[in-house]
Amino acid sequence: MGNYSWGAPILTNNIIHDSSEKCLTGDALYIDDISLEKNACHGYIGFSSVAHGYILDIDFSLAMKTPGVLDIISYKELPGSNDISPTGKNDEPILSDRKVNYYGQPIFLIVATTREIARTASKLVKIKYEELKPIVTIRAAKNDIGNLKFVTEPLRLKRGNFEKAFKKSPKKLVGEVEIGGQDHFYLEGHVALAIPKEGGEIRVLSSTQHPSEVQHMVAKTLDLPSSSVEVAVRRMGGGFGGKETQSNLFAVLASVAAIRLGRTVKIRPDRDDDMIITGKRHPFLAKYEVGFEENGKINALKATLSAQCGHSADLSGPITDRALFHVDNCYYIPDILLESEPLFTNTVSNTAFRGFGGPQGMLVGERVIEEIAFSIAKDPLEVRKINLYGIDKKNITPYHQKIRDNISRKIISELEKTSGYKKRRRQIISFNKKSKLIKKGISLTPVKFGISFTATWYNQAGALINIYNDGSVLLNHGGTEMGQGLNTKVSSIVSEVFCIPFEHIKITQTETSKIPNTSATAASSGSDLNGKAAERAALTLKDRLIKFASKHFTVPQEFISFGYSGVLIGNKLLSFSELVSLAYKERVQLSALGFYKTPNIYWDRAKGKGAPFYYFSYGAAVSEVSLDTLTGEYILNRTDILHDVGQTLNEFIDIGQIEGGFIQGVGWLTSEELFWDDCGRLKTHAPSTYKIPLASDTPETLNISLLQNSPNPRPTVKRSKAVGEPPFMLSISVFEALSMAASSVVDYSRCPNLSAPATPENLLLTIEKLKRQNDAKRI
Amino acid sequence: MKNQPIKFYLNNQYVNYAPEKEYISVLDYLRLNEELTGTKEGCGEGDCGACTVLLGSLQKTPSGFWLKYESINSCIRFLPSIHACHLVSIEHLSKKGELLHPIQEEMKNANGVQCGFCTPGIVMSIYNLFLNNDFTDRKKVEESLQGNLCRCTGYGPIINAAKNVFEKYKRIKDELYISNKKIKEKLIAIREKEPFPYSVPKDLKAFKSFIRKNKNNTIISGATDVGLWINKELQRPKNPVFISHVDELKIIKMSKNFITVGSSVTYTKLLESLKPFYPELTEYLKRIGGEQIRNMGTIGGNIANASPIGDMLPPLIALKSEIKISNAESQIRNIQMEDFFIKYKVKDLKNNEFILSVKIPKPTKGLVFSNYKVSKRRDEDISSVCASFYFIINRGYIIEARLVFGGMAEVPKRAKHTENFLLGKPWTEDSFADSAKKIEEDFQPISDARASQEYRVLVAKNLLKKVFLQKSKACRGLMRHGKLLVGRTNFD
Repeated sequence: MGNYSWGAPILTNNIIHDSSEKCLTGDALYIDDISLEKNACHGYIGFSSVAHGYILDIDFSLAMKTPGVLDIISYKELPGSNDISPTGKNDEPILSDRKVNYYGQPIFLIVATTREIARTASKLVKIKYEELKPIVTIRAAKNDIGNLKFVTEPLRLKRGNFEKAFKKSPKKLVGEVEIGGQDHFYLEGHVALAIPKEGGEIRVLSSTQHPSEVQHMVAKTLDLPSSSVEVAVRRMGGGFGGKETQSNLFAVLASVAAIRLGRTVKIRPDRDDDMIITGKRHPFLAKYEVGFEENGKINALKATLSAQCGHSADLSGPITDRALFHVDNCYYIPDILLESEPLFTNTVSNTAFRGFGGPQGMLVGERVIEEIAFSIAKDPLEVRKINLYGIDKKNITPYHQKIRDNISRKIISELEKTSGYKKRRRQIISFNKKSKLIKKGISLTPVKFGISFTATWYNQAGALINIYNDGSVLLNHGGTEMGQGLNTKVSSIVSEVFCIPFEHIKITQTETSKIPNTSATAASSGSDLNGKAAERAALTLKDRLIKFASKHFTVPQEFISFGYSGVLIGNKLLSFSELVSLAYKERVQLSALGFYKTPNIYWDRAKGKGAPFYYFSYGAAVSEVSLDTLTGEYILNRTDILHDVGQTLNEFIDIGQIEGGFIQGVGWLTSEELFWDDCGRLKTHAPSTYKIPLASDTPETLNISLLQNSPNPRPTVKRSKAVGEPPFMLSISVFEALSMAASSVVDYSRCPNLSAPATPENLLLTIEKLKRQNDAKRI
Repeated sequence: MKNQPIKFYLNNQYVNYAPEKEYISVLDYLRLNEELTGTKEGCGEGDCGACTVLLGSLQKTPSGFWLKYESINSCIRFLPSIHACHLVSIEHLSKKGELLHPIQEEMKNANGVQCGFCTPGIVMSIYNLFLNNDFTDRKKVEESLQGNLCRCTGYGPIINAAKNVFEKYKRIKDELYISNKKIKEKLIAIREKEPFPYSVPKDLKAFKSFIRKNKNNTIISGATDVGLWINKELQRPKNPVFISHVDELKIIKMSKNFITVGSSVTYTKLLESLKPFYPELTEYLKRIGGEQIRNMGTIGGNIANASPIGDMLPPLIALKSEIKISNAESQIRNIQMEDFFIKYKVKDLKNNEFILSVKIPKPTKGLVFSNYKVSKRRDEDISSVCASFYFIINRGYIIEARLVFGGMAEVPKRAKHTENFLLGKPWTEDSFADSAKKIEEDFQPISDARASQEYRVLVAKNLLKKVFLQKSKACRGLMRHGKLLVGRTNFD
């Protein structure tokens, strides 16, 4: 079909992010930047100040009297359903009716002429509660025996016979690991703008990763068919999963107010309120039992992963599932039993966050490896290598999927060499012997991450390409741009199909009216799904143009090819726009849809069996750290990363995702600590108290390489691999390096069992614990 | 009277604006009044840097006025405080459809942009770094970005971009450079020839007169804390008076034995003036806020705010600093800084009084002076514990000890039991190890989101061990880019 390209090739794998210039000049519009008409108004959400209880009385009188207040909306004013559960569980009220289940739960919306008036008035509303004791932590939830409440069905993965294999193992360990949550801290907070249209219809601009879901939720709340709701998003100032379901609330409330008032309504919570109202990464507590050989080879593993889900299910089902799917990481475990406990707590409903439970699961697996290594006084890397999945055998996961693309051993050995791991580890051990105050640590950890939504039906995407009769190309797809460079990647795929410069393709905002039933831009799937759909739309159009040219110029199709100097038809050279112009006059349809669904995946949750992932992404990192043993403060000295993106779609963007994901992961495991007081109030709800990494928290030296000559064995778009989430987990290397540094105070004689995040406080108290344990042993 | 217009320049354009409200932030003015939406709101508390703009203000020097541009957080800065200043937002760097500014160009080429929301603020911070420094290195770039959060890139590309700007350009002949003189003249004209808004006294006399007339007043200097009362607690403090034009409060005077700094001296300027005498304080001072906060926040504000975690307070108390206080009637009194703080956020300062200056003694013979700040994140964080240690050593014995801690009590406080224990003891590891036990007699700190009581006590004890260990060169402490992080001692 004329796939042969000729002329000087344009490389599209090093194109700079298409919004770059606009963002740099301040020209790029985010929703809050859009100029409003004069009568537009502003909504502000009032929320619960207790974590658990019943609302006895609400007094709106002061707020009502405030000049400029236009409307007050409580659950009674919602025209349709009062539920935004993304999984149809009917467990997530938009506005609380009577019961409040977390500190921060929305109760009412004030609408006023200005945001300042609405916000000030929202603080004048007086609510009386009957307070009940909240369940704030995982331990409290687990201890509430008899009342143990799951927000969604737990999952059990089982292969082989754990009990038997455990019993037979010469060595055994029992342990647990506590893993903290994480706030997304997208720089642009949540925002929604609802514009009423004729006939009760509505258009919503929402900072969302999932416009179709926003559309669906708005329709449900307004009691309208989805076809009467239009949702659009040009770009987000970061998402990271925090705008997958959490945008619904703001969009829905803005829409209700807009319809009631017949005026445009914007809702943008203050940063503190955004952090209090919206869900975060799930904290986990995992307990495990592992049986292994003297050399560290694992025979049997049983682990229970309990997650703090908050007051509703949200996406906790698939998130805790994915946690279980990643406990194995790169390791073959013959007999295994994994269970999830998606626990109800009186906290905000936790949600998607880069990795979607995978990081927590993987950390559990890596902790098991680490603890085994300490118990047999071996370098954890040796234990890792002994347990790696095989190629032809030892390649079945706990969910019975056969791994066909395992390259973990190759990545580890290449990185071990290029980073000088062995030598540096020796040097560090001898440094630690001499150094009194500062101790160092080094660790190499690998990543294997399953790609595809485990909700199989999500693995679909659509794209629309219009070629206008002047030869310009407009591209729409169902994915959303949150900074990850999706539009740049998808445009470059289309530009290569037509052999036209990247700049000639215009990507417009994501619109539910153009591409229906889109999936969330999540699970790292953005370019896999939308890139493929766009490629198909482009190929359809290209095929039409070739067929037309063949007929028009009576040249066989095989003598027609698109090249970078134009379209060669026999020995006639036409520019792309000349060909398009001719085709238009001959009434060739110049608009096409593309559709893609990921093949070969299936998942039977009840049985815990299937092949939920289309392929796996791999990577590994070596990190070296220095730790001050008197304060627990630390420095990241160096990190070397080798990561697999298949054949890169865009080197700049892929490296950006790896670096950014890694640092975000470092934040999760080091300085980012969520703190709830005993009453269940979140006390870390602003950057003054919640500390994401700064420039000075990055490793002094950071080397990132893409694994070369590693096309995806699966026929993904241009044989690339997903890159959004996998690099996040490279940060586990930093966590384990800190652990090694801490353990040096007792000559590596015991595993520190560090909990996450490893704040200076956590590290210092861990060091003290290690010393105490050591002293106790001596006595 | 109250609605007298505020006059300033915005991106080279003259603005004459009489706000309807006492508190309108510079950010809201830009975004809502001018619809200049390139400057973003990320947090509304001066912690994320998305709102960073440059503020050009006239600096009085013996040879006349100098127009200095510094980065500030526009979200916690209020409009009256920029009277007679030049406000520069991202839109001023390059005109639509024209070439990018070199800083923007380097950011683009280094792939420094992902979601783009932090980007304008980052560009302005790099601009601030470039305008105020002749050279840079990785450490300096990191310092200059302490007040800017980016959640996408991991910072590497941004750091590269900043370094590239310095490598390629010695001077950038942009709009700011070209019109410097012109704008300076215009600002001088506003300052010298036109009436000041009521809430912006033009000098000390006017300031005193304001206080006389408005007993219940709110003195606002850098607004780095007041900004939060307004943005977060939705307070509207009565009778604000913005004192950034009162030059008498910006003096830095060196005498034989003292350094005297006016209460309106910013951290940035304080850092420069203390550096020759207390180099060990430099690294510590650079961990207060981010660059923008250091450009705004003042020493008087830090003292008058009387927070238990005001980072400047322990070193100033340790150094035996003295506060000079005036009232509206010009009656002066002096008070030792350690006596100024009474209990949580309560201080020895009356309604009609204000802080004139702080007198800091210069180093004396035998002084060992060391400062520590321990926080969850190293930079731009609030202390879990901060400590300032002042020892006079004579023939190997401690003859004077002043140990001042922040974050350990409701006010910054000396550890008097521990001090007494150390007095007369030899400068040995044992003395310090033993003294640590006394910390619990001095402090019973609280547990909160920043740190637990257990950690605070442990760290306070360990810092005593650390100050001794660091005396021996073998235990230097954490290094970054070849330089020791805070906790330098005179022995280095």
